[in-house]
Amino acid sequence: MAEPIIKVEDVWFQYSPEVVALKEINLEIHSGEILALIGQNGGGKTTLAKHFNGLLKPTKGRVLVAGMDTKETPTHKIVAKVGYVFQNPAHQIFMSTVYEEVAYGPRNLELSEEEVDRRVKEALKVVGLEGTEEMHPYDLDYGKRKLLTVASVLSMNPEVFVLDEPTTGQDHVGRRVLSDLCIKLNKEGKTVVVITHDMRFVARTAKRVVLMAEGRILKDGPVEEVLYDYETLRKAFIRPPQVVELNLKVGKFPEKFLTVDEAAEMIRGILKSR
Amino acid sequence: MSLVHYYPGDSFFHKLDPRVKMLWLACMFVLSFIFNHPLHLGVLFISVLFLWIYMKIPFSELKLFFKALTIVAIVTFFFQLLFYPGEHAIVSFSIPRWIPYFGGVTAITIEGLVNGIAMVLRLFIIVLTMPVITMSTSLEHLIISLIRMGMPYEIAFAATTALNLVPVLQSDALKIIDAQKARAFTALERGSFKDKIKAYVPLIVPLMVGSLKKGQQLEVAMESRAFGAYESRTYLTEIRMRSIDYVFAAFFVIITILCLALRILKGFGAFRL
Repeated sequence: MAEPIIKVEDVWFQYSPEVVALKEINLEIHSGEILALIGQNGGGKTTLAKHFNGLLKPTKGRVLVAGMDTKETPTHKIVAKVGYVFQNPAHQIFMSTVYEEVAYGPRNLELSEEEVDRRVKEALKVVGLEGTEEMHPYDLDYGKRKLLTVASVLSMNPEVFVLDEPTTGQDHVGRRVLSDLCIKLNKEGKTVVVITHDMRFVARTAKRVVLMAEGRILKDGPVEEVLYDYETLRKAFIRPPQVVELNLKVGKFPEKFLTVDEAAEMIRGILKSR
Repeated sequence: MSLVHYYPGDSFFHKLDPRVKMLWLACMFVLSFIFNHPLHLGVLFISVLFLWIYMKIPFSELKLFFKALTIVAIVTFFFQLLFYPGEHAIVSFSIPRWIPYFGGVTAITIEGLVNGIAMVLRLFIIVLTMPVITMSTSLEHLIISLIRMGMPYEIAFAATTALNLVPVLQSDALKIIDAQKARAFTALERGSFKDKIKAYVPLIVPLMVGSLKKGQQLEVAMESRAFGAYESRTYLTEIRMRSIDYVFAAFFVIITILCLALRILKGFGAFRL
């Protein structure tokens, strides 16, 4: 197997002597994966994700991004590989037009002005914000502002995308757009890491799930395995999607489905064969 | 961490009535201005320093503050040393008149040296006393004591809200710096001093927008809970002066008046050659 793009080796992290946020984390993320980081608030998801692009450095252990040790490599080299979309758009938007905001990252990467322009247009098109170039970011509604933060990372064209709770405050359409976007990026060969509480989003989007609680990884496996591990999820105070609960309660379905569509298709199949 | 952060504890100073603490602050101010002898100011300074250590205020979290303070102190010291008019020269020299600002300085004098030290000590006393109060008093107690001393509730509320927002703004600023770093912004890491200063400019926009928004939200939240519905209000926390508070209050006042009287009548704490 190829070298993982992100390799976390026995990482511990402390914010202060009293607050240990990460304990003994070992994790390998390979190029082309699409995975969800789930768990309660305060479980260490965001802290771990901030290690992926060097915003935080481990107190003990090490993190390798494409072979580079985050402790020794300057942050700007790592962020060119790992893009990070923050949870709160208010903390990320600081330019006065949508265009400038999206152009900020690629300009810092010292790309030519034509290339920057090309990338900005491309990124805005992908998230469906064409035509808003000259608007002030704060005039966009919350959902669109969130998409803008995604675009501003897209334009840097990183190999890995980390999205911190992309679906909070999104309506159904926004959630679908973001889910489709993650899948699309992944199909194009990008590695996608999503931090989320939205189990339906996980079921629809991710292929691998890492469950965290109290600074440790509780479970790490394929999405159908983790979401069907009712006991472990309960320990972390997480309820799987309702279709999964239904499947577990009925207990007689031949397959582990994750979404309503999958369930419907299977049930249709069963009814037909009768 | 910030200077207005509250560090809970149960030292005697923590338990003191906030009004007595403010009285202490006023006494320290008066004393630091009536004295100009380094020895007397030194005693005052050590008493404040002792409080900081006694209350276990983590110095290491305030590195930036002390750095800035040291720079100001050094500048102050040299200005006094060079420009304070005195007669007893330690070293004589002459700086030609054509040199801007420094031209005409002829000697470093004992008076200049003493005054320089006194000024620096005064600076430290004044700057270090205020945080002792905010660090040892919860905002709740501070606001109530301000109201008890006659400040209108609305103003006291606004003042404490502003204090409350400082740490929030700090953490917001750090988050925005992170967001900039995440988009390959490098001036903070490898830029020149000028680049670093410039790098803080884009911080201002989201910080301002953020705090204005917070203000608006706060207003709505307060209105919706009927802020100002009654003329007079009652308080969840009551503060009462205990006998120990009166003892300390009396102690501070007596010491200050005594020093003031001695200073005027006998020249106590004044530097003379």
